[in-house]
Amino acid sequence: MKRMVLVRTDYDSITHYMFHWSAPVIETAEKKGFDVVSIDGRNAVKKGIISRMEKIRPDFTFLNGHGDARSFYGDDNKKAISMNEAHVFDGSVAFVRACNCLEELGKKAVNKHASKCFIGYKDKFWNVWRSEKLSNPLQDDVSRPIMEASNAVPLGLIKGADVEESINMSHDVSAREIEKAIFSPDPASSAVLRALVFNDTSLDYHGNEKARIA
Amino acid sequence: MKYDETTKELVILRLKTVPSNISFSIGDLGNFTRDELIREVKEETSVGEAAVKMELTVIQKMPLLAKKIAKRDETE
Repeated sequence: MKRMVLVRTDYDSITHYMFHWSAPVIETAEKKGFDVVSIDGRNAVKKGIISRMEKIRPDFTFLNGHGDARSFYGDDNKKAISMNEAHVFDGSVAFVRACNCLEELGKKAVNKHASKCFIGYKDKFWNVWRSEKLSNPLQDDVSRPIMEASNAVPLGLIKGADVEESINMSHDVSAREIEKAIFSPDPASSAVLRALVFNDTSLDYHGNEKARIA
Repeated sequence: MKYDETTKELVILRLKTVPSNISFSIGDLGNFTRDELIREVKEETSVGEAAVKMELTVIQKMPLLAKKIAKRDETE
């Protein structure tokens, strides 16, 4: 059975959206027979994340939260995985939905350690949302295209695609949604378009593009 | 990153087209309404810089995306 570790922080608007929009990924992973360990909310702290990843040694790691070039942040914006802990990605394909982590943390996980591949964002991750939908992110039609484009990466990997194919799936979802946004009469679509284009440009990876988890 | 007045004006004009009930989350920089984002651009803060970078990226990428869409439509 393939092992998946998922981290979902939930303490501000963007992590709240990521938290809820990870649910379709968990559902698909479980249907595909993955053993999913989810480290959520208040439990998403350095000690718990590191010890569980070292113990489980997941085939697939999916992190949701804030980040910078050198760290992934857990609950309450506290550093959870920094350069000194890059070994936790050993043997794993990782998708890190957080700002900038790809730049140095991702590079180190692959080049200095044994991560098979580290997929993430080179720049800020943008989300756009309707203020009145904050309590129900899965019903937010404005954020949906942005989160679905991002979700295409883990969903592709779980369904057996390699890294390159999964990233291309995300580019395809983005392209389709960008086209819809261009021709949409909804004034909100101009904001969606911006986030889609920016995130799509920032999505990249270090490591083996032919790596698979399933 | 510093940007000139023309760029600033262009970004502000483009942001004004976004409805007021839409919020932007920019990673760890926080959440901003359209008007808050416009103010950040005017004041040239780090958030304003992120907004300018985003707008300029979109402007640069759009012609390439349009070409891609046109090419795909031709082959279909």
